[in-house]
Amino acid sequence: MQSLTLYELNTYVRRVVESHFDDTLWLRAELAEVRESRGHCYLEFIQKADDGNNIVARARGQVWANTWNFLRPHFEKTTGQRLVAGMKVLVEVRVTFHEIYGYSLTIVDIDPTYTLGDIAKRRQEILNKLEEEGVLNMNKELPLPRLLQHIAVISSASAAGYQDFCNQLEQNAYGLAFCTQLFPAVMQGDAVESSIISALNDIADQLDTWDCVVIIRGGGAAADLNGFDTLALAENVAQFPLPVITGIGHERDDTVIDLISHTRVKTPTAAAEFLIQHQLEELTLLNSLADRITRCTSERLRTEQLRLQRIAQQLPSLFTLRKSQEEQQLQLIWQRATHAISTRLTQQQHRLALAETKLKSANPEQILRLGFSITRLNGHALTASSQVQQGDTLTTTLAHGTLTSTVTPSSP
Amino acid sequence: MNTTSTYTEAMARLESIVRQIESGEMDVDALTTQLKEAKQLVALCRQRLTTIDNEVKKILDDNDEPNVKEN
Repeated sequence: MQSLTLYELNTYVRRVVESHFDDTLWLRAELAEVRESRGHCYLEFIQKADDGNNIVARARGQVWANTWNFLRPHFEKTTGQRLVAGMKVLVEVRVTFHEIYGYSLTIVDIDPTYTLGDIAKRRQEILNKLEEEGVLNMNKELPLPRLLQHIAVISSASAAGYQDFCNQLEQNAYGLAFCTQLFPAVMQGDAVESSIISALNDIADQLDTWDCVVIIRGGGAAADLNGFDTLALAENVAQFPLPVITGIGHERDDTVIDLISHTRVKTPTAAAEFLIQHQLEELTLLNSLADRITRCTSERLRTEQLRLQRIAQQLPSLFTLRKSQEEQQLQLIWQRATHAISTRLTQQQHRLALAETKLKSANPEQILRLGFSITRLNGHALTASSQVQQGDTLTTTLAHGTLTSTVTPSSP
Repeated sequence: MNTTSTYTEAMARLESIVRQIESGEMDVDALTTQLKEAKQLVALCRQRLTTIDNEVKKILDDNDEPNVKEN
C-alpha cells in the first residue's frame, strides 16, 4: 500500500493550492477575531448562514507588518474605527497553504467603504423596529429607584468580569451595603439571546426583590457580541420593568442592548462603580441633610438667645423711656384740667353777674320808681278790674307812700 | 423594592424638616421634637444604605441560590 508522509501530503496540497490560486482575489467575509502581534495582524474570517446566527465557513488570515503599516491607517481614516471583530470586510487576499500552519489567507488590500455602516446598519434595523413598536426608550424612561441595593446580575459565573463586579461592590470604601444574586447566562455564542431572556424571566418572577438588573460580560472575542444584537433580546430588555444596566460592549462598539438599556457602562467594574456612585450620592445627601439640621437648629437657638439678650438689655432703658412718657402725659393732663377748671369758673362768674343784673331790674321797688304802682285788695295785688266790687277799699302802693281809695261805679 | 418607599418617604420627611427649620418657620418649642425625629430618620436612612434587610436575606435564602452574595 502506497502512503505519503504528512509533509509530502501538505507539500502536495500547497502546490495544488498555489497552482489554483496563482493570483489574488477579493473576498467578502466577516471578522470573528482581530489580534495584533509583533506588528502583524492576525484575523479570523467567518461566514454566517442567512439566518445570521450559524457559522457556515471559517478561515484564518493575516496581514503582515509591512502591509498592515499602511492598511491600518488607511482603514481607520476612512471608517473612523479600528478593525475589530464583528465587522464585515471586503479584502484582497492571497490563498496560501503552509505545511505546518495550514490553510490561511494573506491580506494585501482592504476596501474600507464596504465595512462602513454594515454592522451599524443591522443594529439600526433593530432600533427602527423597536421604535415602530414604541418600546425603544421604555427602559431608559424608567426612573432609577433612590436605592440601588438589591442587584440581579446576569452574567456568566465563571466570567472574570462578574468577579470584578462583586469585588468592586464589596470593597466600596463607604460602607454601602449591596446584595447581589447571579442569574447565570451564556454570554457568548448563539445561546446568548435565549439564555439572557430566560434569566430576565426568572428576575421578573421576583420583581419586588430587585432594584435593578445588571448585565455584564468580561472578556471573550468581540465577534461574540453578535449574540447581543438580536431583536428578541432587545425587545425583552427595552420592556423590562426594572432599570437595566449593561456593561457588554467594548470601547468603541455598543451592542443594541447597550443602546436601549437604562444605563450603559463600559466594563463590569464601571457597572459596580455606577451603583456605588448612585448610593454614595444618597449617602452624601443624607449626611448633608443631617448637617443642615444640626447647623440650622443651633443657629436658630443662637439667634433666639441673642434676641432674648437684646430684649433683656433694652428693658431698663425702655422702662425709663416709658416712665418719662407717662409723666409728660400726666403733666399735660394736669395742665388741661386746671385750664378747664379756671375757664369753667370764669364762665360761671359771668353768668352770675348777668343773673344779678336781671334780678336787679326785676325788683318791684325799682319798677315803682319808674312810676308803676301796686293796687291791693285785702292784701292781694290786683291784676284785673273784675276782681273788685263797688265799695271795696283798695290800697295802692307807690314808690314813695301809700294811697287808700274806694271803688265807685264807673262812668260809662 | 418596597423598602425603597420607606426610605424615600423618610428622605422626603427629612427634607421637609430641613426646609422648615431653614426657613425659620418652625416654632422654637417644636424644634426639639423635630430634631429628635430628624435624628431618627437619619439613622433609619443610613441603616438602609449600609445594611441589608433581614427580610431580603431570608427571601434570597429561600431562593436556594448558592450565588447570593452580601457584604
